[in-house]
Amino acid sequence: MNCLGTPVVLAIAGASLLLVLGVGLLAVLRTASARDWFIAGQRAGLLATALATMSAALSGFVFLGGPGLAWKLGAASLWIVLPVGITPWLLTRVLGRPLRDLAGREEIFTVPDVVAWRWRHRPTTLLAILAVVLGSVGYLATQVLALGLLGEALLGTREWLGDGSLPFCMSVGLVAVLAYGTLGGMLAGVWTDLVQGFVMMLTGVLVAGWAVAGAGGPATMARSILADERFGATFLHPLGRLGPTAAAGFFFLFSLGVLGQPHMVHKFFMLRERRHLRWFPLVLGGSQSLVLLVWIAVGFAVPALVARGEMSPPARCDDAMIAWLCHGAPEWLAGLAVAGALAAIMSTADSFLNVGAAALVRDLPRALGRPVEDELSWGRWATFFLGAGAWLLAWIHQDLVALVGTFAFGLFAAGLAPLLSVGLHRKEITPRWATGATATGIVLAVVLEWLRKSPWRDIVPGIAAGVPPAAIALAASFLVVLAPVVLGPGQRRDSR
Amino acid sequence: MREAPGSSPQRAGGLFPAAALALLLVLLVGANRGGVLALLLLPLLPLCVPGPRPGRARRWDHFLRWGFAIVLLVGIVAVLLLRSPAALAAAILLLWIVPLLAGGLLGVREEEDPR
Repeated sequence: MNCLGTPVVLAIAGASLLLVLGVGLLAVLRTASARDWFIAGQRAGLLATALATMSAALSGFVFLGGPGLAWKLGAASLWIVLPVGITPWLLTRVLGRPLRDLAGREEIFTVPDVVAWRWRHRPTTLLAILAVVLGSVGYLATQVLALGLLGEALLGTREWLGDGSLPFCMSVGLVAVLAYGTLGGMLAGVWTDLVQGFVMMLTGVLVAGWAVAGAGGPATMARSILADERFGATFLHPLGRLGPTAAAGFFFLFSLGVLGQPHMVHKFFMLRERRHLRWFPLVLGGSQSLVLLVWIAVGFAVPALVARGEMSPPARCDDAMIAWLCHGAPEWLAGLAVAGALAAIMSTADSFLNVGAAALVRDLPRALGRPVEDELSWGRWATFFLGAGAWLLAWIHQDLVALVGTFAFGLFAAGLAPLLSVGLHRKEITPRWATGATATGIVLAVVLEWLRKSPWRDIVPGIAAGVPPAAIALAASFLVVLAPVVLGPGQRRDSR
Repeated sequence: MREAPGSSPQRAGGLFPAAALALLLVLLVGANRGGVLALLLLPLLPLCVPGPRPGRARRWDHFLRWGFAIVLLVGIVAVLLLRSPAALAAAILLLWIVPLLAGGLLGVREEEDPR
């Protein structure tokens, strides 16, 4: 791990961090209203919006956890990545147009705003707020812990701070995000996301190219993996180390689940012109694919090098990326990889700070009939308290935080995706069915996730077979929201 | 309650609810034979996308949705039938790159009929 603490690596990562901070603080000067703070003044163009969506969607997990998951599951890990083929089109087609149009003519800043506008039903809105707040804090805690762990590896603070090292590095990382997130809100978020998006794409392409070339090219890598009995043909088959049911569950969750991710959906409110939606899927999907090259390239380069005896196996799955950087990457590339990972973590964190703060100071008081007068000031305070809450969660439950991050994606997916994707298009979805679908998604996501970690996991054979619990919750929530569509005319009368 | 902003003129369809129910049952049961069925249900997802536009653009939307479904079906069948690493190459090509380019270049048009 100490290979990352060299002057070159520190200089590149530090320069990237300073660039982001500079851009973020510049955006602070342009933030004058709640509209600027919550939806970047609705002035963002195609490139800014699409890259902000990409950098918010792809967290540090892609750089650190992805290659580790590929080391563990082989090609089967790609069932999380493959949905990128359809999700940009799906997201834009299903939600982009209605949400952009809505934000253009109404004062719509957030996902709970959309729910409140559509159904004008307090329980449905409160459930949407609950999902957004719980998920945001969970996601934020994961990002804060990731910042701490990366900071420790980079600065080598454990040697001179001991047990105080992780909280110190978590605090430094959080303060850096809060510095522009608190003052500049989403305007600063979009500006910094643009810079971070370019850093992530550059990192993705260069790291992937270096990893594949260093391992001898795709054909040599495949031959090396196939020849080693520790990996073999199962490692390279998409269904090899994951049964078809679990693979289907991952594909289903990560394709339809994006329709409920507020940090992605939120970006449509910022789009300046509707015509930008035309090329949105291509820019979003193309940029996501460039970054995800890291997952595939390093994920297969490490086993190929290990199979040929040129590299020691990583001690833990999550060490695969850092082990590869220390093994075969030049210092400048290691510095760029760290900068890319930092950019991915910070861009996701600032999006959730904004989304969570909006839910607390705008959506919740409005849903309770007591709107806040100065939403801009209160939003800044809420950002600070959300950051502090996430820091505490990460510190108290360090061992569980990675699970919390996964759970947060599932909670958003099961709680919000059916509500938004079907509810915004079908008039049959009455408040009663909307509330039922959201409650079903949230409750099942929580209960099944708890069941998965309990001794009684065999009660649901699918979970024992590796199906993500949130996929089951998502399917159940879709069934509830689709029930009035199937039941037909009687429900339509009810909706009027 | 307000009218849905993206209201679809489409009649209530039973395809998506049936697919969601089948997926739910298979995911709950978790047997491998059911898993193959679940994988074969995935190409239905693009067909269930709500909000096809009215008029001539509606036909274009349906054409695209069927196009996506067929590419995904070919990709899933290839993954099921081929051995590695050909199955891996087929998955990356047919489940990732081809749909991404199709969705990016053709998938979202404004109100005019692109033909």
